[in-house]
Amino acid sequence: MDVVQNYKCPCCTAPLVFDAETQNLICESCDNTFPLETMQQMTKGSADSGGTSKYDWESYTPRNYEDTNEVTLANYSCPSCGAEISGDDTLGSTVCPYCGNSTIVKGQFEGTLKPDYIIPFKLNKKAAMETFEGDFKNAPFLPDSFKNKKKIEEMAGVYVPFWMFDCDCEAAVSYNAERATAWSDANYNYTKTDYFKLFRRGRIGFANIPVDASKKAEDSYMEAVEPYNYQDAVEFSGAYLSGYMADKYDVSAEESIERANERVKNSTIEAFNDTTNRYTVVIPESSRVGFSNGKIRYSLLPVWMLNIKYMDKMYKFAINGQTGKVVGEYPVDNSKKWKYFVKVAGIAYVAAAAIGWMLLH
Amino acid sequence: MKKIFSCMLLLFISMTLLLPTYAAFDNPPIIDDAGYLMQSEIDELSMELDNVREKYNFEVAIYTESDMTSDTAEARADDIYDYNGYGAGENDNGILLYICSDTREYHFTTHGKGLEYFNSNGLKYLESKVAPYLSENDYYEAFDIYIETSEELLEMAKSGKPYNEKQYSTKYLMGVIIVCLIAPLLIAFWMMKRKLKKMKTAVSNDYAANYIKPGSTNIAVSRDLFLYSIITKTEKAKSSSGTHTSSSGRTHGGQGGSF
Repeated sequence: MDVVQNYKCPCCTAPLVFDAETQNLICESCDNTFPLETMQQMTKGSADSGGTSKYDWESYTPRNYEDTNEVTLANYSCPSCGAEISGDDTLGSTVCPYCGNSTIVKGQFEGTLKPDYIIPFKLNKKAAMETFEGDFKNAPFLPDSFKNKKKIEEMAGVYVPFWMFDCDCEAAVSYNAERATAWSDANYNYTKTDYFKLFRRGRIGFANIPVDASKKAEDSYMEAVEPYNYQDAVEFSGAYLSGYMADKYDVSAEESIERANERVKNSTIEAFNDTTNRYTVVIPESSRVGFSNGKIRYSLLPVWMLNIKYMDKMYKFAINGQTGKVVGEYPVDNSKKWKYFVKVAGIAYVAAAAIGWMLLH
Repeated sequence: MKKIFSCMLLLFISMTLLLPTYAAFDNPPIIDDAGYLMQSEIDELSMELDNVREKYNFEVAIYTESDMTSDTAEARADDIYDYNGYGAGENDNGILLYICSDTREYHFTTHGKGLEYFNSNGLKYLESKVAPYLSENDYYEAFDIYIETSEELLEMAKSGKPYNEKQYSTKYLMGVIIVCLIAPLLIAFWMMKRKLKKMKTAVSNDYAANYIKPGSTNIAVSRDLFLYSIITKTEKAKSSSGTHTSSSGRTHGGQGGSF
């Protein structure tokens, strides 16, 4: 028998030897037998899913805003947080929608970059407020006094800049998987664990993955307020800004690519993972993700920003201006929280006492 | 002649006095081939065993030896019981405590009504009383407590309610108590944390599943290579209590272990 140095036993990593009689590779250490074809496919699959991921995005060329006299625009800046916002000239004196701390200062409109498209606000201020108050029922530990004692410092409709990423993703992922079966006879319990190597390769297309392009808008809020329905997206026109504010991007497309890559990679692997659910244990071993046709567009998406003061503390909320999804961080009523804990613990103790009694009788 | 007659009468009287003692039982209550006890101890314990045997018309015996001729203590105890005529009444009711000094194993075997009077819970109770003394090599005390506990169980059976309380190890009891005390707190804390999550909804989304183009997922290669199998075999936990059939074909109950 010749030692085949190229193949190592997947079970114990000892070198496999070729058995001329059975035409299989055998492991003299753990007595496992592997068809030569299986080992060849395994080596090929590992090579496919190994290596570095390649992300190929085309570069973004900014377009200048052309004044069509649809609306008179002005620039506003926040002396506290430094936010630079555009809006129509008639906004007047207002509080910064991001920090809620100070009054923004109106200045001369200096032109901005023209977005590729915009999703106009569907929820007006009143509807957004009703949606927000309707969301209180989803906050179980909200103090009862929040509804009456909250003070809305600022509520502004802001078109937040987003980079939108489209791409066709090609990925190869390899997994180590196990499937266990159990049976028993009169004297013994048996567990058979089958070990597999899984390979998946395929393509997935992504469209309009938004990445927050504003430093002032917190990424967690902007990702939580997703998704938007892009069927309502229209070509940008200054007229949509009337009565609203529009932030301009201060995070470049190149800086945002990393976040888009991360989300695409996670979702691609997750989609591939769905094909492995007939195994008991699945551990991803390696993955390689490549993009093609990567397109980047600049868009403005509608968000109602709320800054609410309650018990001398500021609470921020964001409402999707199209779908009405509310995200933020509510104040927590500790007495409600611990009452709930005691109630659940009480019920659980009754159940535990019943189970304990059954186990001991 | 008168002397001979007097002697015979005396013998007859002493025989009649002795007869009730062994009337229903073929074997002495203790056979101590392992030599654990002194003669005075054997006499004392025999007297106690006889009292119990007669009071309840039920075999309660002890058998010790140094070499075990069967594969298991259970089989040996059953064989001693079956082939030496142990037991009382029609069904050979009784219990026998067997000990092998070489292998340091003990086994309680029961038969007939013994299966009911010394049911699995009763045997565990009896074992919990006797085994600690065996482990300390205090055989006299072990046998004494065996007789005392057997009497206790027989008295309960006589009143129509054989001992049937489940016996648990301290480890099991502590485990159940600790889990019952801690699990509700953990469940309540976990539920509270889940609710607390709803208070903060501004959280990052690391996935882009919402943006997958419909119908664009195409997995061209899906290969599952089987590599090898490992079969593990574990012996089923066997309760040494419960009923079984001995080599003679009779049904026995039992409980045993090592000391």
